[in-house]
Amino acid sequence: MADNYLEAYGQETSRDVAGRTANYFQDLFSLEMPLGRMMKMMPGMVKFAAAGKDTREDLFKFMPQMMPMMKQAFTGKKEE
Amino acid sequence: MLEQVKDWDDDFYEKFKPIAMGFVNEAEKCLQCGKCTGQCPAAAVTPSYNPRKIIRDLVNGNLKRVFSSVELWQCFFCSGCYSVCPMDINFPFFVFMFRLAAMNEGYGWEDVKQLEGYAEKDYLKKGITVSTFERNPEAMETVGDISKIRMAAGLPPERKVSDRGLAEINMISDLSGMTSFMKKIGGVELLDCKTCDDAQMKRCKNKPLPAKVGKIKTKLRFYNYGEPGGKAHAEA
Repeated sequence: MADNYLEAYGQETSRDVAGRTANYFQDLFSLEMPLGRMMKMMPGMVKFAAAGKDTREDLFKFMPQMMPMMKQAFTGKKEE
Repeated sequence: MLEQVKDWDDDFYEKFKPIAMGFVNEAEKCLQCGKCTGQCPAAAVTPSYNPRKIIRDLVNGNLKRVFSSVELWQCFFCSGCYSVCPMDINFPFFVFMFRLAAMNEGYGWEDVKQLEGYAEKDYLKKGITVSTFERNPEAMETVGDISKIRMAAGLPPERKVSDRGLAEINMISDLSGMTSFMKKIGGVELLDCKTCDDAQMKRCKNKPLPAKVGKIKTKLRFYNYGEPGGKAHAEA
């Protein structure tokens, strides 16, 4: 087991760590949202919208518009 | 092994500023006056914790030392350092950002794991932010169990949150990624000295820190900023 942080990191310098950290923050603060992350958010939004009366009505109104968008997101084909 | 100054990435802070979109600023203006450390309650208990040194290492680019330190996890966000800083450096926000970065490097997951019980038991299921069980032991002795006081006053033992409120809390948790995060760190029980049995105690002696928290491998952290001290130092 390493005795201190220099031994634990071995040959890696702070420059390598800085590169990794910069990439990590670039992904974290990116305004582009990958489809995977967006799909993770969906259950929460639907759960919330289905819980209240007024939001449930809005959800059902929005459903027909939402389905083609989701199909397009999955298949990559645009429906006409 | 000796570290050399050329190993440090002194451009990192300049590169990091535009990425963070104005959330962090002015660390380069740090005077190293040490007012932050002087008033810090965490530093009074753990003398090795030193906000001034962490800011210095950040600006100099000695990131290995910051990320692998135990000290990065001593701050409890009282923001006293921010209020006394003559240059208005928001140090707690740096701590917040660099804890994320340290977790990306594999450090500190065992500290975050301790939030899971609270989140799963009370916050996500019942919507309660302050549990009855996590109260100050001293207050428990003098005031007693808060649920009993509530019942004597004719209230239910715990605060009731409406279904809609609960759904909103769960939505926020899903949207912010907290739910998936909690799933990711689940799976390994942390040992509590008060409730552990003989088998757990044996395991604890063989293996002082969890090597894995959920699916994530954790790395051992070090006291990089001096002797941890503790009670003896706090009294002196």
